[in-house]
Amino acid sequence: MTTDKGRIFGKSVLEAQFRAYYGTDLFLGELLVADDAERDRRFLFRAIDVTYGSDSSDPAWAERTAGAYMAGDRAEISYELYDPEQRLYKVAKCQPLGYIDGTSGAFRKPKSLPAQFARVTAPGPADFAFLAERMGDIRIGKLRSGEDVIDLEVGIKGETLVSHVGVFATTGMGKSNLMKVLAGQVLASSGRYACLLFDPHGEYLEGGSGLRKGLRDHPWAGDRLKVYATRAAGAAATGLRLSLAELTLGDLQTAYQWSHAQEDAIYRLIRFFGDEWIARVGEEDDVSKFAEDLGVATSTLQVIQRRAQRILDMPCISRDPSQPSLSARIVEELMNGYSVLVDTSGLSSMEEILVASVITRRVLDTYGQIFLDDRAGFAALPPTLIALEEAQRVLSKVQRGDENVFPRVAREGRKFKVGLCAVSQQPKLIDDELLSQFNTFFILGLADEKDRNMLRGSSKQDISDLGPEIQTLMPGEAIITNLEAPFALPAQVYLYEDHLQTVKGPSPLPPVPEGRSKGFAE
Amino acid sequence: MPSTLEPPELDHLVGADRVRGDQLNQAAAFVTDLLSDPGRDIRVADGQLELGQDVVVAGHPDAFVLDPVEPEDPGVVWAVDGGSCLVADARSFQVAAFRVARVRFSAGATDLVESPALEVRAVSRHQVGELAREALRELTGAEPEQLPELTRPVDALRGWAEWRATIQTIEEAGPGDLVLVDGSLHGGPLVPPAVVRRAHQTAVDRGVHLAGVVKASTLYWGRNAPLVTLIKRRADRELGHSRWVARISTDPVFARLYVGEIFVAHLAPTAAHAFRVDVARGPGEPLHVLGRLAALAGDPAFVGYPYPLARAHQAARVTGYAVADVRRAFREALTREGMREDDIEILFQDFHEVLNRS
Repeated sequence: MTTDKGRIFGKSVLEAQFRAYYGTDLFLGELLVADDAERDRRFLFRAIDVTYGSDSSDPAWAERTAGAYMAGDRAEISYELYDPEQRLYKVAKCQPLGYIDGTSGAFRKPKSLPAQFARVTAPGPADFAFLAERMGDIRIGKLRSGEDVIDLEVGIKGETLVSHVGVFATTGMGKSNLMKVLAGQVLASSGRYACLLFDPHGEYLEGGSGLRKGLRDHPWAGDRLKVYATRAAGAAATGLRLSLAELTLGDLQTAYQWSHAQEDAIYRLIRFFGDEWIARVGEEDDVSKFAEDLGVATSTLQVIQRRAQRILDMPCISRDPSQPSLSARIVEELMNGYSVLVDTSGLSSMEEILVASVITRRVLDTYGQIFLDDRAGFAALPPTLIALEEAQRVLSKVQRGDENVFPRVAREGRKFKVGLCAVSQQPKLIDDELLSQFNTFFILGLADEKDRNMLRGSSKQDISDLGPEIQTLMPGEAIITNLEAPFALPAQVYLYEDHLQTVKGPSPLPPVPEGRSKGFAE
Repeated sequence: MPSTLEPPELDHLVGADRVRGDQLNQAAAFVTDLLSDPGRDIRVADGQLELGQDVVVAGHPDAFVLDPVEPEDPGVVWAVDGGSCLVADARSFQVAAFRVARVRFSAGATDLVESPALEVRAVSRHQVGELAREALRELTGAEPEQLPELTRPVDALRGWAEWRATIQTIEEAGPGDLVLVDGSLHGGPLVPPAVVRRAHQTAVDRGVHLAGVVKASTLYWGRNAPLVTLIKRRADRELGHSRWVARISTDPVFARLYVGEIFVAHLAPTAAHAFRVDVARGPGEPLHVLGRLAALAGDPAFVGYPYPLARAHQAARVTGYAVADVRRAFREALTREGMREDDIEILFQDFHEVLNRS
């Protein structure tokens, strides 16, 4: 199969155009190479648009010819364009990605023109050898060129997890699969990294419907995965029971919208009843009297009471103040390099946010405290990623209050080795200032232009020309942007089920030497 | 004293200019009258049938039989066409550039395209006779009895080259191949009939079919109404979307004077144009040749026109950009020969351009 695609004929340093053969199948996002023999450089391009071309000097030729075809169709006559390969061609508009210096092998940003009429070919793995060292140890798939897959693994460095990760896609584009691959890579890091995964639908753990597999099927799950669930999730799962005492006002502010009057009332409740204020107000029979005693409006207290009662009724909340802190236990596990999956299926959105807020706050505060008190201990902490679905719920401008822990993680987490993984179908709803804190984007298919525009403004790579490509991404196809990558990388994300086949689990213990005592069992 | 002159008609304002009196309407009435009452005889323009005057035969456009024609396997088809341009015109001499292109269509695709480099010739009035003598001697193999009058040498240079290439193609073609030329199978005023006869004889000897397709026919009806247009209009009315041919050369005079049969052919059902097609008498029935042409007339970019001729035309044409390039290169060549820029300007400038620019 020939890799020859055509010849460059224009246009500038910022945009290349090349004429492709009639039969050449070009795809948006396809990576291409042009050889500049004079200067010993190989230029890399990405196809961002493909149009028709013909040798006719008449600008209306194609339109007229289509009309002739249609006239034939109406008369039920089949016309045939002779020699199409000699008369027609394609014109590809390309974004220059940079060039590889033939002498040093170094990759450089595109600041000069490739030789005019340079031959354009399909790249081979050797053209991307320079990428290999930048791809890091969290591998999520392979480099993609249009619809072809190039045999080069792509991913990110585990250390960059703490500079936050965004996973953006519309439904069905492969978010869950990507998250499972990503979390699986963290599991397989043998504790070098950790992740805290909130799983609102139970699909990360069990794989969802059909033959899908989940993190519990991962070879490293037995060694490195801890599971907490509000419902029966197998013998390996621990019941999710947070103590009422672990809930802070900030958590409540993150999960619910409160008016100023309601916030004032809560402050009064805390002043009078301390950690037990929720139980106190939730169980109060005479709200009017209670409101009068507190000096707040009855209607205000009624709202607080209703919410308090719902919290008290949550199956994952324990009123027992003597119960050991579950969030502290989770943080301990994370610090020891375990990944923790919190299955919140069965909880409402508000309840899920409340749970996530409690645990996230504990992680951030603990890591922050260690940073201040124990530098050696801090150095040993694994970079930890906290992944939250529908992250726009807690990262929007409306939710930007000081008490919301998630924006805090986005702003301060990096310093304390805590990264946020925001999974969202609607990045347009995320506060752009917070989004700019995210150094890594995994962009899967996004149909909404507003979503793409939002990412365009915050991406660490220029993706302004990639709108059509992002729009036409198929499930599992992604674009990765981060500071390490020289350009926005097109990737084919591993299918988790296939990927599992290639993952080696922990090495088994060496066999007992022959003749040695078999110990207790003997 | 009253004037004997007719009062002047009012001029009509047309855009930013004026047209005298009612002359636009008169011209339009002439055309509609011509088409509605074309006359009763066919006129073939002078010189086409080796006669020094027009051939006129009886006939009426409504009387020609419109025969259906079905596409046939086109087989191997060659096409020859020329292109030319005037590089410089100093009135007393000209510099012309021309080329002749050939294509071969076989097994459903064009497998040969010859588009040679432009030939450039400087021709003065006193040289042109010798040039014609030499060219025609080569074309006919004998000393020409009479030399044509060459008002535009560039056309003659291209025409001679086209027939040279046509003869060469017939010689290279295999038996059963069809060779197409752009234009009718008479050489016109610039090409002596002996040239056409030689080409025809070679084709007959080799079993090669020869046909010419005329883009702008000089077949006229009666009072100079265009015959092709009239027949096309009638066929549209009577047959709608269909392929058809009308044999024009029904009068015995054609058989005596012409190398082939003359048709008006509508080769694709939805084609906007019909063409005059001359099919040389040869190894097969003209209708089969027309069927082969019909099979090649279905390219949607050139509906109704045989595709190989369209390709040959494209390969031969000298585009506006090419003309500008050749003209510039010629001026540079003059400079290299020591001519001053001012002299070049004076020599080749057409004062009309100066006037038009002013």
